[in-house]
Amino acid sequence: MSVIFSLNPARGSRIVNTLVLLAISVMLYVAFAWQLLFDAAPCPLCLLQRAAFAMAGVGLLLNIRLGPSPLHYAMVIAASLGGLAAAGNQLLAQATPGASPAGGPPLLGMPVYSWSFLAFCLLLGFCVLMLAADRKWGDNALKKPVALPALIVMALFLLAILANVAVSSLECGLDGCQGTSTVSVPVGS
Amino acid sequence: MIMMLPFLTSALAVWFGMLGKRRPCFTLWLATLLVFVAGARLHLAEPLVLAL
Repeated sequence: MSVIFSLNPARGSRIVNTLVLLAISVMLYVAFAWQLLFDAAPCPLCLLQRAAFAMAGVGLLLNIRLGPSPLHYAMVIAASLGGLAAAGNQLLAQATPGASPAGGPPLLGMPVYSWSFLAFCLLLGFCVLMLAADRKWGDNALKKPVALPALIVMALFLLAILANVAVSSLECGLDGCQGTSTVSVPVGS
Repeated sequence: MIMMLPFLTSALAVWFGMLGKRRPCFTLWLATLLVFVAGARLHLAEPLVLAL
């Protein structure tokens, strides 16, 4: 087994992870703005998808802070699978007769949950690629030096999640969020 | 409450992640996953009426 000595190990991989975390933060902000701009009703499945993005981001953030590790990629994969289930369910629910639209108007020609589904697929592809190509660093939990841009991206991501804490508690209150993400057509009608 | 919880726990996980503390970060991430599963059981369990 070889030991790699470097002052700034896995720099390239951590830069890529920073860019993906930035993309996730942008998606969270866009979804947040879309909901506020179009005054969309509270939508439990939309919130579940955002929670999945938040969980995936935690794995990416650990990759940036501690270096790439299969554990961190596994966190991203698990979150993406959960997000795919939520987004896929919403896609199917909207295809049913009598479905009420959820998540506001389309964004660049596609509903927001379709973008979300696509993003989770891309995240899974990213993890597969990185797990296959970026194997030489192994696993350790030693803190790595973080450049200012990466620090800003991490702070933006934290702010996006805190904004969701505020909005979900204001919209949903203490009881469950009963929005319009799924249809209310009974089976057999 | 349940819809706010995953964001709260993941915000804490992000905070510990930024500090470079993997164990508390991962523990909070697992808590987020459990809340996510609970929320999914609540909202993904409704039957779909598909018109294929």
